[in-house]
Amino acid sequence: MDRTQTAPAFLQEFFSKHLFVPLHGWAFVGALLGTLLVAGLLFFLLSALPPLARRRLMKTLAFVAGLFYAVEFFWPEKGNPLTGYLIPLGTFLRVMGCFAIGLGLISLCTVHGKAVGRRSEGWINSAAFFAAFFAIVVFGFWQQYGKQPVHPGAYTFAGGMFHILFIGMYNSLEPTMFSILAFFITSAAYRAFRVKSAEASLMLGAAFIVMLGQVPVGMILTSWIPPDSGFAFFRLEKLANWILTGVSSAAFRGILFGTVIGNLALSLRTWLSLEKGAYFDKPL
Amino acid sequence: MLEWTIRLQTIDRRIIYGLVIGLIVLALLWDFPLPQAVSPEAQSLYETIESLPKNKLVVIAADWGAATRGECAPLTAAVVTHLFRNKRPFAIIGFAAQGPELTTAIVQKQAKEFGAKYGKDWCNWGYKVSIDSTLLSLAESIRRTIPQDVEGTKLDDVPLMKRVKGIDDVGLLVEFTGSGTLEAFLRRLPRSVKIAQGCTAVVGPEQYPYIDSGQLCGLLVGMKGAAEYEHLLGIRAQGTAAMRPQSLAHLLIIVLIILGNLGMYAAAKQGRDLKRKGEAAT
Repeated sequence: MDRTQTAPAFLQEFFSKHLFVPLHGWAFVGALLGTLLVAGLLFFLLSALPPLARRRLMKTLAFVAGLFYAVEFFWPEKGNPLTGYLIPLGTFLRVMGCFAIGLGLISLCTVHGKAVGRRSEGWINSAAFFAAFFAIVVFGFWQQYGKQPVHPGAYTFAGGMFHILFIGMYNSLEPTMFSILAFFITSAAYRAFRVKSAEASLMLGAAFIVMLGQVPVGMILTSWIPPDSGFAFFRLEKLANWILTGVSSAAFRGILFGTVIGNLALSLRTWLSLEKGAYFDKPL
Repeated sequence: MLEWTIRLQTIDRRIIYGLVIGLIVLALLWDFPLPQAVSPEAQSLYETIESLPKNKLVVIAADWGAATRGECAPLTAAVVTHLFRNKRPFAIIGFAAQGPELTTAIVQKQAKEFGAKYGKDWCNWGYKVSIDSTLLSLAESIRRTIPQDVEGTKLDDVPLMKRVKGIDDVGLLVEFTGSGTLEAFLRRLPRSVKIAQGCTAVVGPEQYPYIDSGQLCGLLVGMKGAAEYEHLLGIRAQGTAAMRPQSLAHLLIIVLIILGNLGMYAAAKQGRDLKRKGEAAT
């Protein structure tokens, strides 16, 4: 299956020797500083370009970058001259994806930092964010890189604190928030499901069948119908399954087609830079 | 009497919350037996694992976090039991940060019961970001996409990975999720890899079209899916136990909806009667 091994892609050998290699020690630091320098230089050059030229350049780059996966999809059978870059590009995208964590962190710290600094309404919640954030970061790194427990299964102070914060608090608080839905859904269903029209009656009927068919207690209600008889279809679990796999599935398929066509149009507009305001439309 | 019936449409939400918590606690404490039907989708996943060639690797995609642990953990546990019982080697991968860690905890617990060993019976490829590009690379080369497992061991040195050369040696991928990540697997993996899913009940209806199209070889939906799979395995675990509170909660919702509608009809009747009396007086 590994088509990337069959024939090297355009300039792949050169890049695999000089670019796609892990670096360590000073070489890594040097490469990192060099990358920052080159990126800063590129950014400066981009800013110096006239707006029209900048826009054209960004549109061309976006089109060429988007072309990679399009070519890969339409010309994949035995690989194309770019197939060799599939895995390095995947690694690059994953690395880029990791930057989102840093970006999210900066955004969170900016928003909550302002709230704490200005003592605006609810600033105490923002302060709680910083306390929780620093606690989990400090104990997380401490337990990972600090002294390890002597006996297997035992905890160091940092390990214990991390366990309390992550397993004890975070991992319990998240499902707690999610489980509150059970109360809201019950209350909302009681208030919203009113038989005021034929459509509402139809929906309520389907909801009753699915709700009963999804749980064993519903089965008990129609258990008197023999499972191998001609009327077995009318057992609640079978009716519920038919509604889900037949009626509901057909509706979802329709929605799916709609969203996929919408996505296709949006992707094309993004790829061809037809979206207004995209790619440095405004001055940097 | 009519006044009381009208009040049924405005039951205080605190009473409703109290009834929900009361019934759930009652059902958790009172272990009453319930029958369990098995859906064709759960049966299909069970049969796929049963008929899987011994040399094929199973990949568990743990795309869930603590928020959906309630449903995803019993689903994962049921399938892991089946894999350990049938001695099917499997690898864990996750596109949700907490997924592989939470799944590892489930697997480690079961590995003790079945005497399974890390590296020989299962391994953990860890958390990966960017689902589409990772799967695209994975389809080309497993080793170049995931050079080492979470413990830092090279995949070539993990015993169970020695017979896995590429994606064609993966027989089945089972994704557990609480969100719509299935399409990425369907888009990026070759058709030789069978795909099945265990998902939360709220995501379930979106996945049924892929059963019809044959792109999914099995589907476990919510706690019911876990209970069905446990029934197929002949065990009673979290999924089966959760069917009791879920049954009572569903019954409560149905009763409340009926009461609410009775109240609405009573109010409408009262309105009509008052109108008729008003017309008669004039």
